Amino acid sequence: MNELRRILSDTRRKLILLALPFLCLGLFLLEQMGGNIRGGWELMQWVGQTYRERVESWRGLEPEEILAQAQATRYDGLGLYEQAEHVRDYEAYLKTVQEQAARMSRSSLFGGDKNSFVYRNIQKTAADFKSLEGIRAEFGSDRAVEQWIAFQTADWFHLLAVILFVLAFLEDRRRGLLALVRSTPGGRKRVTLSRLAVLFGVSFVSALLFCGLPLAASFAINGGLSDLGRSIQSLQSFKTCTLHLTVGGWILLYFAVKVVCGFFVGVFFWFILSFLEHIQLAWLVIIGILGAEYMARRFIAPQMALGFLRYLNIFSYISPAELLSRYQNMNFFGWPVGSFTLMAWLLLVLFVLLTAGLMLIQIRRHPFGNRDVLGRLIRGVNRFFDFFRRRLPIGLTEAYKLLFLGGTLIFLLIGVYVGWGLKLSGSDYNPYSEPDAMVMAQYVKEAKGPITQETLDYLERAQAQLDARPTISNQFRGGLNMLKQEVAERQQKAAEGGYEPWLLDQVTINNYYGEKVWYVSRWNALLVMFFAILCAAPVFAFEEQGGTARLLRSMSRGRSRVFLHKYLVVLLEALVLWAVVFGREWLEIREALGREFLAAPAQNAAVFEALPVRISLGGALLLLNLIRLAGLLVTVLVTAWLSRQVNTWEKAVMPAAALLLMPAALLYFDQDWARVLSLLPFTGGAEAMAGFGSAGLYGFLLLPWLALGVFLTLRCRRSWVKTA
Amino acid sequence: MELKLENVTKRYGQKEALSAFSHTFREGIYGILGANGAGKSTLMNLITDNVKRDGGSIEYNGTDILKLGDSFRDILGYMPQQQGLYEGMTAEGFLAYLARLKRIPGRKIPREITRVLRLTNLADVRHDKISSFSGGMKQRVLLAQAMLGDPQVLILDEPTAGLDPKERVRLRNYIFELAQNRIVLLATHIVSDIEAIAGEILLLKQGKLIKAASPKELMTSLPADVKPLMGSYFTLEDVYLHYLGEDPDE
Ligand SMILES: Nc1ncnc2c1ncn2[C@@H]1O[C@H](COP(=O)(O)OP(=O)(O)O)[C@@H](O)[C@H]1O
Ligand SMILES: [Mg+2]
Repeated sequence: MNELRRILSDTRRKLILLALPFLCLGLFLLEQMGGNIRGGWELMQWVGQTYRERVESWRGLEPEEILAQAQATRYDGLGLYEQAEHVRDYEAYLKTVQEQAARMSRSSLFGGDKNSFVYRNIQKTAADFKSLEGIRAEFGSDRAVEQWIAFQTADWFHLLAVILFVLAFLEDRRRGLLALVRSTPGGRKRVTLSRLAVLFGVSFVSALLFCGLPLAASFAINGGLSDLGRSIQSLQSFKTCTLHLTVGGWILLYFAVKVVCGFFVGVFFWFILSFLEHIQLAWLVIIGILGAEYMARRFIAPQMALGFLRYLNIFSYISPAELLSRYQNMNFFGWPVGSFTLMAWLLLVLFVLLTAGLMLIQIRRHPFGNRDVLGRLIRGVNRFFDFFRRRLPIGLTEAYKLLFLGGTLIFLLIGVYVGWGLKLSGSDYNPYSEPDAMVMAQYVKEAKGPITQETLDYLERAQAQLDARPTISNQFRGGLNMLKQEVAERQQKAAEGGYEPWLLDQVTINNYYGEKVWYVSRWNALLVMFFAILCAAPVFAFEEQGGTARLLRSMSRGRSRVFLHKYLVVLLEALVLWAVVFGREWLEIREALGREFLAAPAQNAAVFEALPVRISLGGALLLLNLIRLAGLLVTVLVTAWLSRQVNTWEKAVMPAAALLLMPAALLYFDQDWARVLSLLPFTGGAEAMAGFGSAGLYGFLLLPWLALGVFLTLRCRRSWVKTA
Repeated sequence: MELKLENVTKRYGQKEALSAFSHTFREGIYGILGANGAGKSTLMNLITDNVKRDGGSIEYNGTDILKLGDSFRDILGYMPQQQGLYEGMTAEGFLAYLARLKRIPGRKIPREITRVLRLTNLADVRHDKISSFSGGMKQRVLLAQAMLGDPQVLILDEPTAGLDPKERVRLRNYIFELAQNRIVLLATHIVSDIEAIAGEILLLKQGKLIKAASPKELMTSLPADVKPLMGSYFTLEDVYLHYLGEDPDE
């Protein structure tokens, strides 16, 4: 218990552990919401509701009847059709397995080679499936369990919790406590035993939380608690499962297995890491092992020669659902062995060995095998890098400090990864259901460009073509008329505004910047801001936290020089984040429109019609991106100032989130009143551009924001460069 | 070379952490002796311009250090009381960075680092991460950085905190060797750190300068009715207890 108390006394660790269950549940719900934060909740409820209603109304029907009824809604993603198919076919499937085996044993093809793995496997499968005879698949509410079992992220959370504790065990070494703990009589054995107990408890609680919470949520959404008495084979994913269990029984078994496996995985890593003196290496080793094993799991197909590596894998214990739900034999020197059986035995044997080994290491001697071979290696590596680090100019050292020592590299990488995957445009303006508009879009493709006599000629030619074929569908005439109207409108507006008229692909431009797709740029901007804040937050705080601020400030270049470079680095980080999202957008839109169209006067695009300055489309996009950068700049400047006021990263992130992200999130969720409080329209861009137009002066709200940013920066500079 | 403080005052709220401190420092070692909370760090923070002065002047060779700014920091070496290091850096990386901040020319940096590492006996571990160092080693890294670039004014705030007796003696000897031709201010609450090496000792109590004199003078300054702690002759401990005793904070 002392051990547990010691581990939990670390506030940061406690916070992380507390946050994990919420995060896990949140991710499960997000998945149920189809990954859509906006409107996803309703979608999820609709799916659950519909699923429940349909299952209730079809309960007790014959599979064929259900299939007939489900036919109409076959592709709505609820999977009821497939479910009924499975129920109908299960008995026949069992028969097939037996027949296949019988046919094979008769077949002359295998008659001669009864020692082949394939033959043996089929016979073993048939023998194992014999026991399933008489088990019936029953139609019922499966979705809750199916969705829950498919949520493999929970396994990662379980793993993370266990690893956090294992690392905490190793921590005393770094703190030099090991000698103290080890020197007390009986202390070593007792500590090791109590750590094993802690590990088991952690695995138990983790299973309860990370499996239990999503399961409960899944039942709450999809229903099905009353259907737990059916055979587990009633569920599609358990078609090949050979366990004689009810759905409820299987869930209990899974839970127990999860607890044991989590415990085992913890012991496994603890054992390996106890050879490492250098705690920094621990994460590297963990990630290395997990990476290699994950690759094996991911890229090795079961039927390959190395197929056993797929199952003989730490991930079989991290994600034991597959072992428990699918029938699978491994090729063990020509003999088929049930993967579940094998892994269960392996777990037992390894567990005994590892525990014994751990006890030995912890009790008998100082962690062995590390007679500083590793230390020398690390020193060599450091010496190599020192050669370069010694030559780093101040700016690069500031970057190194913020990225590596301040730890923002990880946020930057995640931000880049997330940003790279973001969708940059919507499709809300595509004319799916308006035939005329679809035709017009085709015409625009051919006629777009500056509106000249040529364009008008084109219109006439097109009209003549249509007139020559009176039978042609009406939508062509409609489309052409729309185009004519558009051309006329552009000409008129251009004449009024005194600029050159162009015919542009309005649909594409609208899909990037139109009001209907603002939710896209808002979401993207929200994420960019979020990561920019995370990256900027430690910039001054970690100097204060480590007590280095005083030191730096006592040196001639430690004041304005360091200050300047700190700002440059955080701005650069923000620029990287901007580039992966909005820089990418710039390239994308240029590609989509065609480069020459950037020369068109911006007002020809409907979204930029109200712009008070006469610029080209390219210029408007440039302005748009400058506004975005300005918004991001303010975000970073405010965060950096906050960072100067506090001494930990969290203390800077929290007010920044409250001040900048909260209003942004409100706006994203359509609370339009939050617009005046939020930077989001600027970091998002399109919205602010619209606000610069005749519609209103809203866009100029950027100026006070910029003023605030500059003011805070001057304050911050004063407090760093002059005396605090 | 002269560092002259006149009526220097620092307040935290109502409390005067340093009250009208006046003293002139010339070449040599000055021991700033006082209990915890006496105002030693405050004094050093004022000289390194890390806290705002509420009154008085600090002049180096006749010019206020605030006016000198960076050119004063150029000749300043400072070892803070709080262990402020980048744990993730190697000793060499750390020193190289600070050497740059001290405007030491790039080509001189390797030699300079080697010099201070030798001086503080850290040459063997120059490529090790600071996070792997013991408290005493970290203390020596801080001392090493303070000596980078051969500063004229060396401000050491409790440099021996956390050192074992052997390291303590060694450090004292380094400092003694260093002190030629420069001003060294060494704050401590441990008498033995300075009694053998300080040319002058300043006794600080609750923000006030009680007495400033050479160790010998201090001992003879004791009134006749004071009895030695042990034996028959006075030590600096007796001086400390007489002037600074009945510690309010400790
Ligand atoms: N940042 C601060 N805020 C408020 N009071 C402070 C601060 N720093 C120091 N003090 C107070 O000033 C007095 C002198 O402190 P300090 O100079 O650190 O003493 P010493 O270094 O001699 O132990 C103490 O009473 C301390 O509580
Ligand atoms: Mg102090």
